Amino acid sequence: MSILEITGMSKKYGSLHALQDITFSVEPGEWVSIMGSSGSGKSTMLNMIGLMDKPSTGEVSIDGIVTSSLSSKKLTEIRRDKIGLVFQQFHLIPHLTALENVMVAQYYHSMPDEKEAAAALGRVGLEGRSRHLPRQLSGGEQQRVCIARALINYPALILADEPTGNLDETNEKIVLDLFQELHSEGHTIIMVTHAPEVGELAERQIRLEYGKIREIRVPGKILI
Amino acid sequence: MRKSRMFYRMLVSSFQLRKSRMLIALLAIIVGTAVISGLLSVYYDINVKMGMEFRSYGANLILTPSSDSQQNVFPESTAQEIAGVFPQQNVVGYTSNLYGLVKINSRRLVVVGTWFDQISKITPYWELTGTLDTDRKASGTAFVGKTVSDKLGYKIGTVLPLKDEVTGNEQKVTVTGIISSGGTEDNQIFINLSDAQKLFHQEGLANAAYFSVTGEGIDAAASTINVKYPQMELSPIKQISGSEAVMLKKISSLVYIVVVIILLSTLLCVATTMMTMVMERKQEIALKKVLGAQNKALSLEFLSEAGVLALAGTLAGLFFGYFLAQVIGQSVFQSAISFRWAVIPLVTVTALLVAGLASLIPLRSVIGIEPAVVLKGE
Ligand SMILES: Nc1ncnc2c1ncn2[C@@H]1O[C@H](COP(=O)(O)OP(=O)(O)OP(=O)(O)O)[C@@H](O)[C@H]1O
Ligand SMILES: [Mg+2]
Repeated sequence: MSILEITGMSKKYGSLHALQDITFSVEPGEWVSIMGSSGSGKSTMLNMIGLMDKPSTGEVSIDGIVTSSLSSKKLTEIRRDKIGLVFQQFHLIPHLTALENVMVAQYYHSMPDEKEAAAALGRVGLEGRSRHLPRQLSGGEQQRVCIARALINYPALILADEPTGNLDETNEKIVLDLFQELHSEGHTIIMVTHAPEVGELAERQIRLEYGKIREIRVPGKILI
Repeated sequence: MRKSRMFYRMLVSSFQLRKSRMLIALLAIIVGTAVISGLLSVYYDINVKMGMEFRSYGANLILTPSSDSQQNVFPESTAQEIAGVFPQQNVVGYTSNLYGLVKINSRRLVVVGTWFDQISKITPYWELTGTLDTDRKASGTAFVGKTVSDKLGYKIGTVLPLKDEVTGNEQKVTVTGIISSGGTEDNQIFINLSDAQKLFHQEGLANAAYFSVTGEGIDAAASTINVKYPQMELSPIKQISGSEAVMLKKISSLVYIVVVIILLSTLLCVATTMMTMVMERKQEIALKKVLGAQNKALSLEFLSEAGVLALAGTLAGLFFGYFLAQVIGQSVFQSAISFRWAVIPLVTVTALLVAGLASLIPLRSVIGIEPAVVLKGE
């Protein structure tokens, strides 16, 4: 069964078609890149997949759950249980330490568990940084805290919107290496990026243009 | 347990981060609760003190021969009959007084014959040093007003030879106490009523009687008595009745108005602070929603912050309010204000209500935050 199934999804903001008739699915363990120029609808699409926004028409199913008719309370629950999100701007809570930022995700999911949270930070190479506040961390380190936070509740699907967009080359490499590791461990990743070299790390690249799927390609081959 | 610790940790850190903003809201609550608790304490206290005076503190009726009667004395038994007109449980006490001039070693002084056992009921506000022989049959004791005592050197133990110039009667009395009333009584000498009656040769007679009566309809009762005893005149003692009741009502409506205004301004201040806080924390709230926080949990977090503010503010406010009450008490009423426990729950509940009300609009915006929109912005 597909982890994600999108059928005939469209999103309109007033008269603007941010997304039009999108259909595709993602299998467990896959890494999919969503590419396209600015304004092509990448973030909009990721928001639909992350259940933070509702499509105007069409259907999004996560792990077999059809979501279009669900209440926002239920959608929040599914997001909490199934999806881990990583943002370009990190979005850490500034007055909580790295460890506590990870524990916040546990708190709203089930139970804060300091050991497990510390292990997750260790997993992203930050064992020595758990007591630091976000502002005491470099951009790359902050983004790794976000990845640890996204992973902490064992999501079925990791969504990342330009996770390296605010990072320098060195940190970009560290973060991308981490995603590759996660992928090799079997995590399912959907990553928005407009950098070709980042997109090429995925098994499948979906290119958007004016809200439509323009091209799907796997390494060495263009499918559409 | 762990969950509550995390909750607590988030609460504390959010306070730490927004110290100055929280401090403003806290100050608003402190000022509000201080003024309210201070005012209420003063109000309660004055109300109780004045109310006691008004109802049962001392005499509130005076009986004298009417001007038509051409008399200045009346039989003591009339006072007893009139006391019997009121329901017995309403009569706190009454006394008959007989006044006369005496000579003590060539000085003329006013002597009042009264019942010593009634003094604590008729004039409880007198300050007394020494002791009173409250046996009505006792004889030969006296107490003197403070001015007399100071001026003439009459002390406890002094023996005073009283001489009535009209009848030529004489009696020696021993001073057993000194009273201070702040009024004309300070210039007088008080002896047992029956001693005075003998001295002035007015057995069984009195010039005036004072009653302390509680309950409703005292004025109406006084008028019927005046009809029934045309020779007598029973009148309310004015200085501690009507005007003070009116004043109390005025003070109380003033206190209510001030309390409402203070509540409103505190409400506004806390509400704007909470609203600013929500705006500042939009990202954090959006993120928590992304991580699975439901509106209910987020509302609870905000209400807890407001609740902590309200409680901390109330605690400090009650403390300052107490001192404020003392300052008002001393400067306006020249009296200490006793602490009223009832103010604590009243002010605490009010502060919590204000904080809760102040959170309503901010909470609506918390619920309205769309993570997709908020987290997108740079
Ligand atoms: N909440 C919104 N209201 C109105 N229009 C919106 C909203 N969100 C997105 N849009 C519009 O939808 C289109 C797609 O936006 P989207 O954010 O998905 O682009 P993007 O591909 O992520 O671009 P970028 O690479 O710059 O992040 C844009 O034209 C944008 O202006
Ligand atoms: Mg985008």
